[in-house]
Amino acid sequence: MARLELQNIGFAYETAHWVFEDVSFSVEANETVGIIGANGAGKSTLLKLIVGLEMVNRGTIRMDGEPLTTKTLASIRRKEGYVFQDAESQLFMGTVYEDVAFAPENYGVDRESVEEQVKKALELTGISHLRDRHIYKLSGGEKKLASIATILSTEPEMILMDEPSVALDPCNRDKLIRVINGLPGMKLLASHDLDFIYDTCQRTLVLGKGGIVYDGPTEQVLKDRAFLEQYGLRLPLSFRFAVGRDCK
Amino acid sequence: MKRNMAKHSTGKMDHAIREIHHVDREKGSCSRSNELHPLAKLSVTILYMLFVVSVENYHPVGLLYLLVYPLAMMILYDISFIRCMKRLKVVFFFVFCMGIANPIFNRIPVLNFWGITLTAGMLSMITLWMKALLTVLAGYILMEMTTMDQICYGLRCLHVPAGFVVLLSLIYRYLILFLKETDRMMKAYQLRAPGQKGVHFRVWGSLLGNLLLRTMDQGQRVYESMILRGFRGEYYLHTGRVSKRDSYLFVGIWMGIFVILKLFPIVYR
Ligand SMILES: Nc1ncnc2c1ncn2[C@@H]1O[C@H](COP(=O)(O)OP(=O)(O)OP(=O)(O)O)[C@@H](O)[C@H]1O
Ligand SMILES: [Mg+2]
Repeated sequence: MARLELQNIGFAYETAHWVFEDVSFSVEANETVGIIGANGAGKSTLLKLIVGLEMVNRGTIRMDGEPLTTKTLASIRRKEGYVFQDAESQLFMGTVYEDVAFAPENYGVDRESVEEQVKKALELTGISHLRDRHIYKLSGGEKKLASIATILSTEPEMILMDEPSVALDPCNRDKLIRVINGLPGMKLLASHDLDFIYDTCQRTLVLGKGGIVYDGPTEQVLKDRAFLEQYGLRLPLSFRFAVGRDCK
Repeated sequence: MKRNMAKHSTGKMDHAIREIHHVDREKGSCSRSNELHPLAKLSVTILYMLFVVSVENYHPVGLLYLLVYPLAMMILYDISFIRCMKRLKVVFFFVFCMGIANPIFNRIPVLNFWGITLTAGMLSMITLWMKALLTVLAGYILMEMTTMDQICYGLRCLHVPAGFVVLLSLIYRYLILFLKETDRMMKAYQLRAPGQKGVHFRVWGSLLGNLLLRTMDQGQRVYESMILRGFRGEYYLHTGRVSKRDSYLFVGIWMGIFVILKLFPIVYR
């Protein structure tokens, strides 16, 4: 089963502007980890490094002990499913069906199994009725759900989502939380929606300048108003208005 | 009034996007052409184009017979002739400009039609027009019956190099992104510059620069999304209802017709 390990990662888009200077952490299979931080803290960048869309300048990323290099990229990506921050660029085929079927087809799954996997993914995300709709004609939230379905159809061992709850109405957001909690495997969720993180992740990483400033239980950090505010975040609503919950 | 004009121009953009998608949409759902294997449609189109191109340069009449293909296809597969003309008018304009100089350079008289002398240049101009027209029509019919992805699938079946096919499909996707991005930017611009006719020339530069950067960015992300989902330059057959028999028949019948037209050029000899 998948285990992700980052060792002393350093990364910069432009020389001398380190997004990460020295980041290390590991995630076990079946763990769900939230990644939070202010705008520009590097949440999307961290996910991109893990799927190999950007390559680290220093350190190593290992998946199941295998280091992520250009050689191992294809086999590692096969295990990963990555949902983009902006659904618009994730979807590119004509219809929802074609888009969701894209990955399994490329992985050489036979036609009948593709149909089945697509059906399952669409049911999970609750968009079976959009199966033959054109991508261009979907609403923002529907696009988001479709882009999540596109990665569920390959049943990845590891799921990475960048702002999954953005653009979803409360009902679909709750549904997504149930879907995520019901999925097996490792999950990394980057989000500003701290309530969403609270409802899905046991463990949370907080990104500050240059790296990780907190790595531990979600509940503990989300209650800590002073700490959150120091890193450009606010108490989640569940704690702000909760009576009897002791916030610092 | 002015605002209406602004609205009109973004409406046009939106229309263009819908149009380009619409082309895809129709094949997805209705029409019998879905039952034909994309390779069958592609090979008949290519074959037809070869036949058109192979007609001699001074025989416009010989080309008249080849009109049979676009006409029959349009009738058989419910492709609107009027819509086709509307969509292709720009292309036709270019075709028109293409051969226009021929009669000037080549003035050797070849035919005398009831007192009107036709020069070789005129004949070659008309032939050129017709050839271009027929090939464009055939291409349009193919696009109307098949999605871009399925055309790419057909090209791969014909062993066209993967690099070329991928490039083709990326250009197509890039075009869609470009239109969408233009639409979005024009809307954003017009909302903040109400009552302005068109775009002020002073912002053209930054608008265009931004547009290119944004489209390139989006294009990059779409490509990444494809790569992350295992794309390696291969395409797959989407429609589950392909009829082998009909596909073979389709290719066989058209090939037969083309060959007969080629072997027995009844009138123009
Ligand atoms: N392609 C790029 N080239 C140069 N710098 C970039 C690029 N992408 C991101 N950055 C910079 O890297 C830093 C981290 O960006 P990233 O997108 O990872 O932030 P984020 O935490 O996901 O922010 P947000 O919450 O706004 O999505 C930012 O300072 C950003 O300006
Ligand atoms: Mg981000």
